[in-house]
Amino acid sequence: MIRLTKLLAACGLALIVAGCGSEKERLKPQQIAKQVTDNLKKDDNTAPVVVTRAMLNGITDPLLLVGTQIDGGVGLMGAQAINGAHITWRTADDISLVMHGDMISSTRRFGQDLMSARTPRSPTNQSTFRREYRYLGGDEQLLRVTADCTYTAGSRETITVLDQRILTQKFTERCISDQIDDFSNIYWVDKRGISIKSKQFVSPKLGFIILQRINQ
Amino acid sequence: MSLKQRKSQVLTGTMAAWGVSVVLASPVFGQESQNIGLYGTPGLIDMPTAQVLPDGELATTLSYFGNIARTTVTFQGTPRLSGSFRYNGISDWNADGFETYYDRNFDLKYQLVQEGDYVPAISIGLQDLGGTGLNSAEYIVATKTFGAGITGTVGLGWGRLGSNNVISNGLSAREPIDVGTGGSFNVDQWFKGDIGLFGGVSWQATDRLGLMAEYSSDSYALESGERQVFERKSDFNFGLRYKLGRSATLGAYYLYGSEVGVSLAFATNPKNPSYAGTTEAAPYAVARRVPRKGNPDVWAENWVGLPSSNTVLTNSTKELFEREGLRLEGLSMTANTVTVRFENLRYSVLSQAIGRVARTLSMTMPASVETFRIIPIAKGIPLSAITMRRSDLEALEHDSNASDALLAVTGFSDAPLDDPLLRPDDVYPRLRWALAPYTRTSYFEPENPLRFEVGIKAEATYHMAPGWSVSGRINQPLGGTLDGSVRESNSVLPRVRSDAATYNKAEGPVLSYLTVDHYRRLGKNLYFHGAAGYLERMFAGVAAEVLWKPVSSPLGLGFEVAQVTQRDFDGRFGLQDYSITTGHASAYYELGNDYMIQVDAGRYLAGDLGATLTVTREFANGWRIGAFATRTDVSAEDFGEGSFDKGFIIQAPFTYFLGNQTTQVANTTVRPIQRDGGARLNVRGRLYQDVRDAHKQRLSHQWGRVWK
Repeated sequence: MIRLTKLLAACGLALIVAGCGSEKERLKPQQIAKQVTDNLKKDDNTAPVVVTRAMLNGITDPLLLVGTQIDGGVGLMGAQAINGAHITWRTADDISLVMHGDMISSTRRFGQDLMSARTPRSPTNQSTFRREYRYLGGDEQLLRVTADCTYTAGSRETITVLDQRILTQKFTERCISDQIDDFSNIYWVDKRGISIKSKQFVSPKLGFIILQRINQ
Repeated sequence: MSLKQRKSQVLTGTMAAWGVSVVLASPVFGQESQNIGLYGTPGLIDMPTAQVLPDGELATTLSYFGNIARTTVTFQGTPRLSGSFRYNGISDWNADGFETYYDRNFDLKYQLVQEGDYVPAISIGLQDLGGTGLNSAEYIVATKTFGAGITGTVGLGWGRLGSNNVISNGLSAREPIDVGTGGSFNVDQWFKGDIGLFGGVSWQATDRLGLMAEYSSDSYALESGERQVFERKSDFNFGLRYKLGRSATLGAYYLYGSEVGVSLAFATNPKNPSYAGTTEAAPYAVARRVPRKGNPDVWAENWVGLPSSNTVLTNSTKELFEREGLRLEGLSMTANTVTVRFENLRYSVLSQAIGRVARTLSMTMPASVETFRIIPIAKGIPLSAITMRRSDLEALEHDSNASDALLAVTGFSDAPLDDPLLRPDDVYPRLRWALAPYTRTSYFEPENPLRFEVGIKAEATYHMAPGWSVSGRINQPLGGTLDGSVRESNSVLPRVRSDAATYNKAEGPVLSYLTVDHYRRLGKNLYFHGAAGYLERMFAGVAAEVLWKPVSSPLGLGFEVAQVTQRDFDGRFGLQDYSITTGHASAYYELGNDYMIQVDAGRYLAGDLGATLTVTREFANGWRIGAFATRTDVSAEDFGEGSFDKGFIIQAPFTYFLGNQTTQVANTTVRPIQRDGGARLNVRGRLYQDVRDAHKQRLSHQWGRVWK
């Protein structure tokens, strides 16, 4: 009996590190260990991916090239849904953001997500606007942040978006808040009035997202 | 015993309480800690200050000087009120039969006045407020922050803090404590006797480095006099503390003119996880319907009568649910309403699961279905009904205040109990099993304050039908010190818990539990759980519980009764001679702002009659921290050491530490000592937590996640 018990224990030892079970939603010990290790690791210093038109392989659907300024992450998003003036864009690995016209109104899976926002549609027909941002606090309570923004048109500028040169006018949105650091969003608007490229503040911990419209 | 062994024991002893919370006060996660002194509470060095920890903060401190080791867990339960549990080990005690003296303390501290521009913070505290009173003290202290990072503190102390620099003999004499069996509150002593004056100053030299100096009103008469534990040569203490990271602080001190001391403090705050956001996949957008005008065919209701529509809709919903970590229990549909019963398998917060259900239904349901009635299931029974209109989802998805706007138009009610459900084929029967490592720990035994056991556990649950299951778990110990305890029970009561050491000596596989469970709804707002079998490690029998809990009420009432027989020590199927009928009436009340109170009154396992009061703070993200105390008709003498049953509970969600969504939690209950009075049956799967988590107050508090 003792030998059988020890044998069972030895077999079980092989499973200790693995852990096993029928519930796929239940984290196994090795998954927990990996997540803790990943959380402890500093950001790796891999070079940011440079996306080229050739990589699109002939895709003509509208796309968003999205980059996070804080870590240089880059991803391509396709349009997933339209709800009135809001368009939901999504990557293949389940990261999404919602655009209200040219403005980011929410994000998901970016880290400190923008849960919802009150934004104008475009920087081109505004003089002032009071933005509202909502973020989830640590105890699942929504925190509301407001910022008073003013808009100024800048000079014309030719930019390159995925090998295409586009003539744009630059607009700056300067926002002042009592609750977070002041910030400025920048938009490069083409002759159709669409913001082809923009750099927009999302959240205090995430910082800015850089958007470029492709095939639009 | 060699000096090395003694110090090892002291360190092990102080690690005992630390071991309870070391995983919770992780040095990697958590907020910046306040200045925490050697007693593990906001303080200079050995003297307290009037400062408090940030609201909700849980701090664990390990300190050592002069053969005195202290491990303290402090919880800032409200912005002004904190409680502390401390485990002291004093080596070279050499008296009372102890070479190393271990002692447990409870403290309470309340900030009477918050610091203003001109007004200092003022706090009142009770240190080691019961039991042997080794560290017994009361104080009133004021702390004021001046410019350039300088803080000054001055206070009056009684008891230990009134034993040096006495400025008054007080209003009445402080009588010696009649310790008896310990554990009782020494109310007759509080704020009596000599009053000592203490004070000090601290300087935050850089954002990481703080320096402090204090004048101590603690004479350490016993330790430095009669016991010769250390030599006290000066009233002045000096020290520095350095912040190692976001939540860890290391301190070094020169104390009482003779001793070098160290401290290490970790702090974590349930309201402030270190990650910026959880890592689950983004939700799919609400699928907006085409306008009814111009698309009458899409909005037609004739799909209801089609023979395949139910199957197609159920299967497509089931498939998408699985992607979202949800289990579809059943659907029922009319032309305009869908009722879905689901189990949340993934999300630490139920409101997020509800949001995912709603989004998924918008993708699978025909356009004519306007009303979504979402029914969370746990243990096979419906817990509530959350009713939303599809039009509201479409209209509010991108609202700037989408969460509050949706809550305003969402209905909460009791679940309907008689829906004709379409159930996927694989819901019942189904088997859940797991094979994984486990650990068990035992604390505060004088011979070895921290005992542990590691092993493998095999557990399985066979869900036979809605509300019916058979569950079991076998532990196979592989190693540890838990079976090495030589502590024998001296209890005069039936030994319903105090023979734990004997149970821990069982060899080979141990049957932890094996039960048949039945859950059902008895009617409106009424829930039932019955269990039969080997209910827990020490008792087998049958148990039944009824809970009354309206969905929108903060009040719940319950009643539980069990007929049980004590199990054999060997962890197999045998039973001993002791049997008892035990039962309690329970009242649960959600006070709001995270706080909950529970009272259980009835008959305990040893046959004693009494009541348990439990107060918990329950954060929206799943953290629960609370304390309990039980008084019964067992006298303090009959109860034995500790006088009455008490302790604290901590539950932490895995998601808080990992950032991954999971329903798994870590639980621990810590008692200074486990005796037989006030011992309650450990029935798995009691109703209240699952039921309450699906009810309006809790869901509303977590509603910020519904669109996540």
